[in-house]
Amino acid sequence: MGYVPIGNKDFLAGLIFLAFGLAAIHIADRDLPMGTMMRMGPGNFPALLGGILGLFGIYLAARGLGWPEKTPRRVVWEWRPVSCIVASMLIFGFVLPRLGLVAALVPMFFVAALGGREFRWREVLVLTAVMTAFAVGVFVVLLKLPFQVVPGRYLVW
Amino acid sequence: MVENLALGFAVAFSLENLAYCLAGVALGTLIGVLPGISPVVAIGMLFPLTFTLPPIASLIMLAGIYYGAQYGGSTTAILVNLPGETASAVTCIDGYQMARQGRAGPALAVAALASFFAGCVGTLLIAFVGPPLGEWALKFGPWEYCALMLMGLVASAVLAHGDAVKGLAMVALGLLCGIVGTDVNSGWLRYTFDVPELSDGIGFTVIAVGLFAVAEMAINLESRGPREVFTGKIPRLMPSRHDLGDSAWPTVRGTALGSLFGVLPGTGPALSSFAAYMLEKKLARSPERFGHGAIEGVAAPEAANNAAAQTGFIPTLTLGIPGSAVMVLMVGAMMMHGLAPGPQVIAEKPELFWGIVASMWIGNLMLVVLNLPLVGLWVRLLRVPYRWLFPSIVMFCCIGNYSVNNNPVDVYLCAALGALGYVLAKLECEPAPLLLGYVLGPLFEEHLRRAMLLARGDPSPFFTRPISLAFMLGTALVLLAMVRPMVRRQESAE
Repeated sequence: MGYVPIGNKDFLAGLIFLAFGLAAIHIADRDLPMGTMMRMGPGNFPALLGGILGLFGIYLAARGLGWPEKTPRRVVWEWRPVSCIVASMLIFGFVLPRLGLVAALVPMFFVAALGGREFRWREVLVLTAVMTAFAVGVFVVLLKLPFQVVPGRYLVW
Repeated sequence: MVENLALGFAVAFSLENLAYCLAGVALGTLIGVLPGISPVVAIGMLFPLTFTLPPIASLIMLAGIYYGAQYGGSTTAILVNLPGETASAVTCIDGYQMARQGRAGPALAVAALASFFAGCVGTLLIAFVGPPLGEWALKFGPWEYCALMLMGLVASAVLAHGDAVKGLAMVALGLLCGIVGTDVNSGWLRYTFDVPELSDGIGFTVIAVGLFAVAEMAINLESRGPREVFTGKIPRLMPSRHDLGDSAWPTVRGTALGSLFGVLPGTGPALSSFAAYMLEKKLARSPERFGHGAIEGVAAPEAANNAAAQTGFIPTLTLGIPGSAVMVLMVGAMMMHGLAPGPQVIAEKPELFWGIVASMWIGNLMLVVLNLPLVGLWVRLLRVPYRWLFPSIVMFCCIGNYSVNNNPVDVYLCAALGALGYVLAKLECEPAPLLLGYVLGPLFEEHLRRAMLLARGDPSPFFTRPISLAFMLGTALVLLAMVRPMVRRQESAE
């Protein structure tokens, strides 16, 4: 005893599915009419799915508990790449409507590149410059997406 | 049949569509060759680029990207021992050995010719099997549709590689994702959390790009291990007469196997190439050559995965039930253009259906013409380091998602789903069943509600109507196939 299976892949996946299932049932129950067998309401199908998902979650979690402590089924996380990519996307989404495409792409590239195995300043700088020019050329000039390129300027010719 | 194909070729041979086909095939190959980008990521990434095109052109281009990327995947499999995607994993075994023995040229050429042959057969099969199947499916009531979708969903979860229970859970999660938004029947907002952008549901690109592109990049960035790139010159491209003779029958057998597997939901190209390889190894007079550069080991799986890639379009275009992640993307593309995929497509939009079919054949031809002389270029592309690629993919994902609604919320959602996708992928939950559930969710619910309403709340028609019953039995069979190895595993553990 005393073994916490928090690193076990099955156990964790089970917990996640169970959480989503319970949340789905809870929200459907709180906000949506269930209807009848004949006239299924908007809450009926999602509640059913939530139940199914929850059951799968319980099964997986239970199976995860059954694994011995030292199995290769422990998950090894590596948070840096995924957090850098996610952060760079959030920055892009935040900056683009305010300051335009160029101002959004530069920090996006630098933050994303931080998630790589190695980070070389000069390379990232060149990559950012080339790809930003490419993006402006293809997306704004060629495909005519309604982005502002620099603050206040929608199209540069 | 003949006039239908003629119509198709007339559509596909228009200058505009030829250009988009070529663009798709070239882009697809380019991206398939770049290390670490699978066809799904390629399509997801380039998806928004095709929005501005007319529906036919956009689907032709997407299809081109798909088999272009698949083709590029086998090139990297042979030259770098790095499968661009699971379907070409088997090609690595003998293809890479051939490259090391200085026979990269013949390996590439045989892969191309086998793929082309399989592509031709696959295209013909779509043309012959598609219309009758679609006509048959037009008679389906809501019960049959529900049962068919249930079978497709369960099969995609169980037959795909990975844990079946996790696959089923992912399907359920995907169905829930598909529910987000305004309920078409009652107008109720469901799971929108008072975010106005969610009232139209979670965007298709948001889910596809987040779960596949973003999550896959995060996984790619952690997998370590040096890879040996075959950088030598490719001395001789054309295979000898002997090589061609050796690979003729394996190609035919691979094509047959692949065509069969392609139609089944959830199996797709990956499984078919594997099965074809095993079959050749069984049939071979000297099986010990396999793994040491046997040309049959390249021809058969390449033919099989290309045939499966083509015939995968049959259930997608005729029934609206996609069998693999890529086909789900195609269905998503059709929906974004306001086309409901299903049996009515062939009847109502013959120019679309036959245009795509014809363009697939043209695209396959273009691949052979384009790729064999350009192998040198592709080899050079292999040396592009991943640290240059992935920030550029992030850029495509961002701009693509933003441009759909011109709204940053889609980019935020995509980032969040990317994080979720990463966590789930680390826990060995495949994203493909989720995506399938998401796409089929709204349709499934609608048919289910209609079925219950028509039968006055009685679920028994699902089991009394013969076609529906057949699909239900199929579902049960698939579930049984899942439970049996689990029981056996427990027995052996005791």
